[in-house]
Amino acid sequence: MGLELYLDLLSQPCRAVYIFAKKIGVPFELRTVELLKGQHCSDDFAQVNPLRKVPTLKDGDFTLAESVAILLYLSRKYEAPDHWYPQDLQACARVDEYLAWQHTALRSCCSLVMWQKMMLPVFLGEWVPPETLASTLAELDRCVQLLEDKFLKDDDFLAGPCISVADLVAITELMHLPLPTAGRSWLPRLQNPPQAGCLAPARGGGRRGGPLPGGPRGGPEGQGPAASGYRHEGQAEALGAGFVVGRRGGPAADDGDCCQNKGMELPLSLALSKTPRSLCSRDPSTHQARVPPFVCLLTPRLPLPLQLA
Amino acid sequence: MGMIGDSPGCQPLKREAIILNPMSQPQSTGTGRPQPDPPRGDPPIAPPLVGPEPQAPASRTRPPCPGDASRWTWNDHQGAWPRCRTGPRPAALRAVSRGSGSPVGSRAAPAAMGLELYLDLLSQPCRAVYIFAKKNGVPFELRTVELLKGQHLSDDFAQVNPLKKVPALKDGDFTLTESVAILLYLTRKFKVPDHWYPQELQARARVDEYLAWQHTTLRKNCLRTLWHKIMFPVFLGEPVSPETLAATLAELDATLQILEDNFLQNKAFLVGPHISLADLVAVTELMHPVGAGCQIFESRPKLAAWRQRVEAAVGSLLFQEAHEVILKASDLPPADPSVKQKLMPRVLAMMQ
Repeated sequence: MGLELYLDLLSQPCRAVYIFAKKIGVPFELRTVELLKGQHCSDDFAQVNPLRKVPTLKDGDFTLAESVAILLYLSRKYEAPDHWYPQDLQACARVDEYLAWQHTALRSCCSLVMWQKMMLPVFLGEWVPPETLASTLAELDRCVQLLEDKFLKDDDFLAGPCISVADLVAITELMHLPLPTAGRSWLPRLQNPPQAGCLAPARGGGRRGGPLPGGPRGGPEGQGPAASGYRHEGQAEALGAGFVVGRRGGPAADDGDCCQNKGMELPLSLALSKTPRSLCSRDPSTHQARVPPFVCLLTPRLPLPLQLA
Repeated sequence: MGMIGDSPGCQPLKREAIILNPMSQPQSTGTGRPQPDPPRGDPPIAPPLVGPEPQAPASRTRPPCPGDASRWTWNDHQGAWPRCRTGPRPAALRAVSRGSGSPVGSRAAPAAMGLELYLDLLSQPCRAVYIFAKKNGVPFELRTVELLKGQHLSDDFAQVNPLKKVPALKDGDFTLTESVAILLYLTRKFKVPDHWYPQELQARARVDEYLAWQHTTLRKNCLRTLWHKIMFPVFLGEPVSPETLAATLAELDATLQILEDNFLQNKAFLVGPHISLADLVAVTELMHPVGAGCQIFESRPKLAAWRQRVEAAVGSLLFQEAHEVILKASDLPPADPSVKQKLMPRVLAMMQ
């Protein structure tokens, strides 16, 4: 058995792992763990991860939890291009700094907002006091401002001129919410990073190692890691739709200059289409609210009037 | 929401109790402190420092360097050659105070440090950084930031770290926050023994896994325990309901169980047979509830034995030195009203 990734794209850290694995061409078997069906609470899954959390990686007998650890493990094992987790001491420290900060800052804020704005009132029918929600949103605003002022600053990406795992972790958190007004110019760059995601002049030898063992699996795009040597044509910021949230299909932007960029669109849009907003839906023919099974398990009040935020 | 390495108050450190002032003379870390216990396992890369007799200022002729000679630069402020990153310094130039605690009284040569660590040993992550730097002989200048006086909230400190948190590292123009990032930076820059952050893929992943997991679990619970048990009622004069305290202690208990069952298991240390960054980060967290008077080790012999091993690997003297302040947390005098007013908003945000 090769490498397995236990994921639910509803979860922010799962999305980061999924995008990264697809982007760098990691050969893996996707094991979906449907959180809303409570599959992560099952005894079967507890055999994989006793902490009953996703994402989880299983590589033969080796099991690993925590998305940050998984991203770094994949980066090292599959020799991802350097910019994802740079060798340079200070650049690497910047990535580490973000990855550490976000646990108790952006991640917790985004999760709280999601629960207080949607999961509790919409799915569980629990009233959230307005002042509680207001306080949470204020904290979120503060976190996003810090993201801009302290981490992004005037750089193109969070840790410098090139995309890194820090950007992936951040963007998948933010996609839990309506797009914030901050950082809008940064978001399209993540969706269509030129060549290996770096706006720096193209340089050779972007990958440290040789060809990956085996071939990439796990999806229709299944492409290998981004190669270096393509020069950025300055089109990264002139994109149209930016991210898709709750819509099917990829973004409309076309960047035919660099075929490697397409490797980012499909997994990103697929990953992001599973955000919580996409769960708030109504049957188009009957306009009946679609009640996720998770809600049926937790409350006898059926059907719930789903108020789209 | 971002945790300060919590701001428990305590008596000022006798050695480096300077009010934070970036323009003040830095305090050397080797102020008459005894040598730490000899390292277990692999010795640090650099040999122990021996303080020389007072000597003439260092020559401006660049010394031979085993590595890239361009890494040697003259430090006008300190009046010496900083340490070459690619190899040990020649013996004649080791006349600088180092984190290993060499006696400084007889030394006249100024410290040639570029690296500053802004710490308050009341804070768990600060203790981890302090112990690691001292244990591995990292040359640094200690800049004490007294959390209980609100010094981390000052404009001066905001120039160092706009997030107003400790620990913070300043290496020339490069500033870094977050204890995990600082520990990894020091690990790489000073090429510490491998066991701290192993090269081996899976062992390293285990360290990463713990360092990621602990942010929202053990750290949060240890912090809340200290604050609900001691800091709110004693230091800030704010009562905490028995139900709140009971809930906090129950969560801590559950987290400790996970630490034992999922991470430590039957190993000597968290990720294997040798101490690593994970153990250091964990043990400094656990000393927080100990400082609050919780007998967390008495009922958990496996954790108690692990704690003894960590303490022995780090060196008992260094371990005790780093925890001297937190172990006196329950003796804190109540805060001044002005200090309380300054600290309260951040503390409440931290507790959420």
